[in-house]
Amino acid sequence: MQTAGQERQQAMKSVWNNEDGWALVLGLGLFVLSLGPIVGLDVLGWAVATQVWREPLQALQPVSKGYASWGGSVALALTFLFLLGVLSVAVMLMGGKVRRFVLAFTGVFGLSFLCWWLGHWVYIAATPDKRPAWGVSWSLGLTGEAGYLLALIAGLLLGNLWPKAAAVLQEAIRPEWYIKTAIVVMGAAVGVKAAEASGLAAAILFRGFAAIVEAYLIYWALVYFVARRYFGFSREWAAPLASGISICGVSAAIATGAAIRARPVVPILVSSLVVIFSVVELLILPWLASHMLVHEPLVAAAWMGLAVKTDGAAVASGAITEALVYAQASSFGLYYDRGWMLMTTTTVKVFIDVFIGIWAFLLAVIWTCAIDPKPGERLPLRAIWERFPKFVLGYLATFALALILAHTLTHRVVELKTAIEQVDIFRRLFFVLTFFTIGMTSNFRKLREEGLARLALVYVICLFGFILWIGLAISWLFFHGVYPPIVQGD
Amino acid sequence: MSPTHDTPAGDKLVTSPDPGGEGEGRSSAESQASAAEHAPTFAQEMARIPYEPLLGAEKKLIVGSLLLGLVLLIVLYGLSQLFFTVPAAGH
Repeated sequence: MQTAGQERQQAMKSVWNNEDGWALVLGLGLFVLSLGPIVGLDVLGWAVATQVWREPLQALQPVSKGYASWGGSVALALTFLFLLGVLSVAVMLMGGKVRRFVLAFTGVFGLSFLCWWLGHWVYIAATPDKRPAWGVSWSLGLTGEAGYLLALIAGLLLGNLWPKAAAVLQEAIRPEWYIKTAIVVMGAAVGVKAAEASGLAAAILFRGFAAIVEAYLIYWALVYFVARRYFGFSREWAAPLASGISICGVSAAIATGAAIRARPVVPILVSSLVVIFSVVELLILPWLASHMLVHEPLVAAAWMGLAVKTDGAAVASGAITEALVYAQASSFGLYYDRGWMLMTTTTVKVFIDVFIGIWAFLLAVIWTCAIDPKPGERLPLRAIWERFPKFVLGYLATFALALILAHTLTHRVVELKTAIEQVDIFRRLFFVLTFFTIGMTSNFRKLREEGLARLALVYVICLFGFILWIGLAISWLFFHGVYPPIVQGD
Repeated sequence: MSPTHDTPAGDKLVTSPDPGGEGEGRSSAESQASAAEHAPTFAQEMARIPYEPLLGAEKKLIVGSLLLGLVLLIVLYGLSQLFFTVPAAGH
């Protein structure tokens, strides 16, 4: 029997022993460091900023003018060493293999950054309105965020065609860690945006919440019914499958599996399928959304949050969709303020994560009381906290702090924006690491595995049969007519 | 995903590796590789699934969830239109 003190100690230990807790710590740490300009310190000004380039050496420079004399190469080296250092400490404290991580992260960062840099090439990135200024007659017009896409493609190719290389990099293939850290960091930028347009931000928050409630209640019930009634899955399989397909992929499948006392192998097999399909969604849906919903950018953004599973793939889809939609919009002279689409996708996804613990707890209650009751069994409320994704607290904290600072330090708006710009460098780097490593985790050879057809079929039917379209309908209902602010030029 | 998870009943479930990398706290590459080697295949697991008829409680869960979803759809949409209206684009 554990004492309350032991339980607290164990809970604290679990926070420090997993990527979720470390995403919270790293994200908050970066945010605090970035606030230097407000008190006259330029702590992160050396971080490497990447811009659209025609000559390769034009691409990189320190984000702060105060460090301009250091040059892009030094900035890149410092940024890499900084990330390597803090992530290695975290890996060590999580009990990982630090030497392996150092080698693997060097490879992962190098390849990811190469894609990020290449994505900023003027022929890939320049939007149509910028071609004359760059002196080019054509370009793909994908903005610099094409680097994310290149990273995804590189990861997919490497992971599927060169598995030995993927094995060497394995210790640093942690897409959920990277994206959760990025989301915590992103809370700051969202907070400042919310201060600039509080009515719009409040509307996005509430509508995102509403969309999620709907998605949970409708998606889950339908997928569970289809899996049970038409595919003959047992309760042990149908519940994690319903959560995995309908809610938030891997985390939800695992939380549900634990809630209904499924054998661990069940959510794990479901998860392996979720990851593959989330990448398929990531490759298809942003293009679909950018063509169907170019005039409804926030509907497109919310749809990505509702439809694409796993935090990494969903937020990645939001980033790609934003790049594609904004590029198209700029071609007919419409310039949306950047970041609002990504904020919408992230808001939807964060609410999904918040609800995972609650939903798992509800299922545990239903299973314990009605479906599979066992004498003397009790359900501790702390189960909700244990399943609550801690990085969400980091997102809420950076959001709230940035919002408060923006409202109180009205005489230091420039410094606050500088701070957000600096920390956003790291958000983008964590994004590109996410894209690359998501690609590497997607093992399409799994699709050939014997016995997968039944599971894959229910996934495909549910996903393409109704999840995508119900998600689109809900997104349309709540975000139709909601637009990002329009700015003058880019 | 933690290396272990508490079940609602407080039992420890030892989880296998995180195939999607959506892991929170991987203990070590070796333990994962070892667990992966011993993980059952899809074919084995699919063949083992028993037939279980849909219980009344499950039907209530499905119908209740859908009905609540539809009711909340109306309520939340109404609230969003009443209290969370949005400024026109460009503002």
